[in-house]
Amino acid sequence: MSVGRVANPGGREELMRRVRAALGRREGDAGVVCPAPPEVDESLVRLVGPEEGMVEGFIARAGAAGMKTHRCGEGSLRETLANVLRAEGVRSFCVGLPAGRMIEAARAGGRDAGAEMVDYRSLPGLQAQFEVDAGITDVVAAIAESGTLVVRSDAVRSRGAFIVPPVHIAIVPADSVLPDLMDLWRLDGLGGEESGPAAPTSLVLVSGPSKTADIEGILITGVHGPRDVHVVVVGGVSAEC
Amino acid sequence: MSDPGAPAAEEGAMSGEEILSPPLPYRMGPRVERAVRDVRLRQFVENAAELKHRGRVNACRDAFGERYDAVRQLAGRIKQHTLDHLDHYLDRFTAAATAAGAVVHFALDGAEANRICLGLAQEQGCRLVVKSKSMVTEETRLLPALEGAGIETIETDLGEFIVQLDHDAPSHIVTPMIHKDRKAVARAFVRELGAEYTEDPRRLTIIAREHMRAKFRRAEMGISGANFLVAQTGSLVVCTNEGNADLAMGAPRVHVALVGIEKLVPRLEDLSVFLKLLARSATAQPLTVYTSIITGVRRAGEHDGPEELHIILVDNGRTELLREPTRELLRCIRCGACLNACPVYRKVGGGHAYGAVYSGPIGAVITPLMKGLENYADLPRASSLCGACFQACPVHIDIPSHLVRLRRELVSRRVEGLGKRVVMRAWAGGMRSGLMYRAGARVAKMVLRALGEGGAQGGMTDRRWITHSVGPLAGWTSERDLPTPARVSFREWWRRERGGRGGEGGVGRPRGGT
Repeated sequence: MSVGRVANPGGREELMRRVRAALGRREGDAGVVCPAPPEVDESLVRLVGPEEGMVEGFIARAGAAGMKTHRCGEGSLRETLANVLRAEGVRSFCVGLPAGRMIEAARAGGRDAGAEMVDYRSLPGLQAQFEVDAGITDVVAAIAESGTLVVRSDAVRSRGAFIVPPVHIAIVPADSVLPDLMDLWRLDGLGGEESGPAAPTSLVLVSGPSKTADIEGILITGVHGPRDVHVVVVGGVSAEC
Repeated sequence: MSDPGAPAAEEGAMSGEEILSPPLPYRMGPRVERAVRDVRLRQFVENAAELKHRGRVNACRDAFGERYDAVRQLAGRIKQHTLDHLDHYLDRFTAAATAAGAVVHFALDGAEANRICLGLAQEQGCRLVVKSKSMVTEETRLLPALEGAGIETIETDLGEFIVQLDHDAPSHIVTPMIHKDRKAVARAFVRELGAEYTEDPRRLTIIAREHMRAKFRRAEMGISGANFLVAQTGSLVVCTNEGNADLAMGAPRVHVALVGIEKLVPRLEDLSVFLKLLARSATAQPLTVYTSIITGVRRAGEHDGPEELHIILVDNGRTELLREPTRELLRCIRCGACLNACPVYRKVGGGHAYGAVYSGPIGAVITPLMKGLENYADLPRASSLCGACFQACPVHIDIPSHLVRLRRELVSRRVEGLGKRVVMRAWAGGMRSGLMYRAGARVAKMVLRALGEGGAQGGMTDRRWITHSVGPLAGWTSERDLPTPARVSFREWWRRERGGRGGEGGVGRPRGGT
């Protein structure tokens, strides 16, 4: 990772001087200890607990947010993806998936549906994804409380897969569903640990298709991002379809 | 009233620049008068604001129920803690952000923020910039600064884009074109984009999408604001429903974020509180469709994302507000709930009447503080002090008490005119002594009854109405009628009926009452 810098140390010094003056800090009074911030009180902020039926709750909320939901077992992911690709008339798509069974299912499902899997690295930046009909991603987690998908970027996941193509298909393993937003920050690798890895370059909470109500308050989907978001929940109890 | 066929919003034909940066000192009167007479505009804004207000109330009640007040107090405490230790959190944020590869700039005022941003664009040889919605860039007037230097800059939030095409100004923090209808959009697209005329909101949206997609693909720089900065991780948090910020921040080679220093929160986990409140307060959603947490630049092995991230931390008057007693105003998360709740904002046709970037109750407080009380003396008075804004605020800012404090300052700094000061002093004298009160009331009754005209109306036997008057009362009676005082005052009646003794039990009915 390239290391950044402060562009104008003089400006920083002056701004910090103003801040300290406004806070009533005295000259040379550098060692003010900052107490811990107020605790994020679970009993106030948590809206959904880890009770039974969390996956069903997630599916209901995702549907209410305007996403199209599907359930399938491990063995039928390929078929489910093929059906979604076919129904959307997808001819080409990019993926943001690690090596493994999900990407294999996407490749095979694409073949079944007559859709070509295009490498997002084939053109610079996000350009390849501007050309395709769909993006398929996995998720870091899903949140039952708000019907939210949490998608990240890294060496195998583009920043564009969930936002650039007109259709987004998210693969959500049932065991990745968390009850509440509060539970997200406890996951490893999101930057929350003291000495862990840095937060991802892009971590996006997605709660529906791209929406606007700017024209007379009328709800329109697909303004900049996808007009359709398909959520494929894989596995979990009573999941075989 | 305007011609019903004419568009509500294009009337007046003031440019965005004139609307947001009027000649000072600014007087609300003329704009309010125009807006009040434009019945369509007023109803349009009123309905939109009312709808959003009710949506917020329901969403917060459904989610938090009885806990709601405690949750917003918690949010207020977390923000207050961050502001109380802003030096600490600014240092922490800077360390984390630079470690993740960002270049952090400090801008003391808006002009400096614009200069830094323009300098970066010129350094990179940028000809096209895509911009996501940001209040701080409205405040610094970044768009004209870039366009003036010959850099094509596109607002990509649909509402801001339409406002930009029309050379208009946003009239709401969250929904900038709350004052425009679909006809105005259709005309702008025909005129500026050469599109075919359509009033179908879906087709209008597709026209905008196609136009802007081409821009996202070509732009060399993306500009955003941020709803929050996370000190712990050096992250920017950007909330949109359209997803334009993800394209603006992700597609170009360079990302520049302009952010006010008050946007800091300590930790990722604090976002649980703020994200839940922000989306519900702004648009009655559990979360905005896209909540993007952006940390640093493209890393080894990553194929896309910007190679450079510049974060410009903007003061522009904030360190003045950071002093007490105004510090709590910096908790504001720009959700717009106080605008939607405010009976004055709704009645004056939205934000333009406030003559500045921040409108509504929060604008009525921070605009005079940032741009001079003498320049915006009308704003603290444009409130009935009903308290709806305080009730709506997700970070528990006591806006009415700040309005009252500013009014007190208007008097003590003699910004108020001599006439008003004399009248108010006489009033205060009258209210302090029984003798003066009785004498004053008698004079007032005689004058007001003399002004009354017309005969007895309704059930009030001798009540007459003042429909026109002169002097200080002219303003009041130009819009409504003033009832004349009753012939027998309550005090006189009480003395006569009760002999000044005030017996036990209920009070008898005044003569002439129902």
